[in-house]
Amino acid sequence: MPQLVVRTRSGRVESIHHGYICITDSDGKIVYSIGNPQARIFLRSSGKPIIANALVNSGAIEKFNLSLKELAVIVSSHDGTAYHRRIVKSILNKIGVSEKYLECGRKNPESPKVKKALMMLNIRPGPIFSNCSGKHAGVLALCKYYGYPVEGYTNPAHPVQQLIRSTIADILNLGTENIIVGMDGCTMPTYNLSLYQVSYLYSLLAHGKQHKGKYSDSFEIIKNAMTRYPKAVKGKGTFCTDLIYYSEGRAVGKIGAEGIYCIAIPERKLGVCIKMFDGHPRTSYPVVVRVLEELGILDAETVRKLDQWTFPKVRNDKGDTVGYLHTSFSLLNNETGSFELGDNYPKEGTRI
Amino acid sequence: MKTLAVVTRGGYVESIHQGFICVVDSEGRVIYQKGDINTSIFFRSAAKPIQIIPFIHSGGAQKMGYSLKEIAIACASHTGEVMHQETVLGILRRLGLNTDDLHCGIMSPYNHDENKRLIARNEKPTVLHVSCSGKHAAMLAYCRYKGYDIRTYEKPDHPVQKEILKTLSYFTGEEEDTIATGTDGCGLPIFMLPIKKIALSYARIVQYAQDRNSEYYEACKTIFEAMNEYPEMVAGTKEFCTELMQATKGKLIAKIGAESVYCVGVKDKKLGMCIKIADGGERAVFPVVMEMLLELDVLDKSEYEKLKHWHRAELLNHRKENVGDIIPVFRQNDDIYIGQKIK
Repeated sequence: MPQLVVRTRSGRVESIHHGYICITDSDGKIVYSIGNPQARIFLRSSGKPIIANALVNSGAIEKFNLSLKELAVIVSSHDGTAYHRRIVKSILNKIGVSEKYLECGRKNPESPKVKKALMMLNIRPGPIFSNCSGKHAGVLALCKYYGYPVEGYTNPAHPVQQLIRSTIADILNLGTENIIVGMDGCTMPTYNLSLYQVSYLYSLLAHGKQHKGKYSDSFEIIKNAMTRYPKAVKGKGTFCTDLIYYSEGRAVGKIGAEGIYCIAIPERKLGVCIKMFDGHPRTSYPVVVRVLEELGILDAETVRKLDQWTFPKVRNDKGDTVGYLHTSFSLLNNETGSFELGDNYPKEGTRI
Repeated sequence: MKTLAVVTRGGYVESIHQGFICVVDSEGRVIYQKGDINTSIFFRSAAKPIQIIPFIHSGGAQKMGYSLKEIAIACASHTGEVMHQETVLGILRRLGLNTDDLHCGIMSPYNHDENKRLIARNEKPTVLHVSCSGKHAAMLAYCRYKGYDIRTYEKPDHPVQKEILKTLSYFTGEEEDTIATGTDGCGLPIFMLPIKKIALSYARIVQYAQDRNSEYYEACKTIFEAMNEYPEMVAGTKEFCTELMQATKGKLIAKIGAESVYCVGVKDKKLGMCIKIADGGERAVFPVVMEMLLELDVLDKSEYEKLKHWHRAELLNHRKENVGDIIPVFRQNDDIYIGQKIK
């Protein structure tokens, strides 16, 4: 298994993180990879900018007069702040569906501030606080557009889910039966694809309208929504938002649960898919920054702005730094780390 | 490093946790192993039952009026519930010390209800909420007993820490100067040791606890009894360490450490076990411990029934429907890969 990251404590390797990386261009050619590009993963929330093609391509955006900002929240895993909730409510208003139809469940918002506020007021969060409420609102918009029932829209057999599944199949030029379905945390279906397929999907997002495919216009609109409204895509002070914002849209990143991270790189028409084996998001961020640095997308100044994600510190309860997360691979040299637990880490405290 | 557990979704392997397992008897004979058991890891909080030994062994615990409950919280990574806070505060009061004398920093309590209560009342967490506060309090008590400086007890060159290192060396059979130290989350020195030696130290605790001829008989017996009589002190409500010792009633001692270290000492078989999930993912460690306890035939049926939710942990969606499981897989020989279909 390819070692991508080590976590140190007092100059020693305390934990090790493995993962796969696949980078594909919009001709479907694998440009770089570490590990097995054919390994199958669930798309999870990284699928949101992809499944939004069904919405953008349908005419629902025009019919309901949905804005780019609203589209950015539809593809988001937002952190539940008032900013995001207002946008979700606006979508629901425009399509004439009540919040009670959201099937994303009652989940604590990801924003620690909002979560704390709810706890202080002893309020149980409604479904709109769920990080997936934007996506659910988008799927409800599709239901309204096509006259499908709004009840049961998360069921894989519901016509709107059939439409989403066949859209993914269509983009990948596959039969629908080849798209394996699992269930996501928010009760919506999620799709089982190879890292190669996922990175290809993100290369189409990167290429946008210049690409000749059937979905090139919708990919362009989705990409524009994400780059124009990075805060809508996740939230202030989160990695996805910081990455899109500080890179000025040169890297359009979207997290997925269980250690998935996907990036569209418009100027190179590349799509990136990263899967950390242990499923913990803490290690995918330094990997993303390292990959983008090696590809020459992020300069030193931008990397510095992303410092808290690039080179995370391990702190004790007094706030002292006791270790770091270090990447241990090189994409361009096709090298992966060979540290063992307990090894001395050379040059602790510096990025190498 | 071997694949120890997988996380599934819809019948496919979505994530993989690798790591190491070692089980030894009190003579150091290896009974079971996965991965290179000479790999060195930080002992983290799993070392607490050893770190308390000098205090008990010296007669300090008795002299300072330590109860079994207070010994149990010295071995704990507690969840900061009221019962834990009161126990630690009781120790400090008896010593004539206050919370500022604990140098463990501040953290929000692990216990969800207590954390919620603090937030609802707009209260800040205190040192009493810190999972290691019981251990720190015991070190202060030891300083008082010995007349050591209490202001620098967490420094590696303080006599308390030196005595702990010496004891650790005795229980693991590693020379003091070969044991690397680091800084733990609570600011105390922590020790790096081969997994095999960590397992040995737990085998020795349970063996000495039954051997009247051992010079550590009293200390080890006290620790074993304390952790088993007050398992709720060792972790907290609905926590694995607590439930495991509650369910097995005197069969074993069990203790978690940060970054997914887990140690168990099994009394009748005189075995010590050390597990490390290499990626530090805590969710994988409980199913792996449970699978090992089955492998070693430690649990009877009724004990297993009480604990089975830790063995194959379910992943639920927001509607509380099963979408996957965390499954220990190390007893299978097949190579497991991301995306594999699995039953």
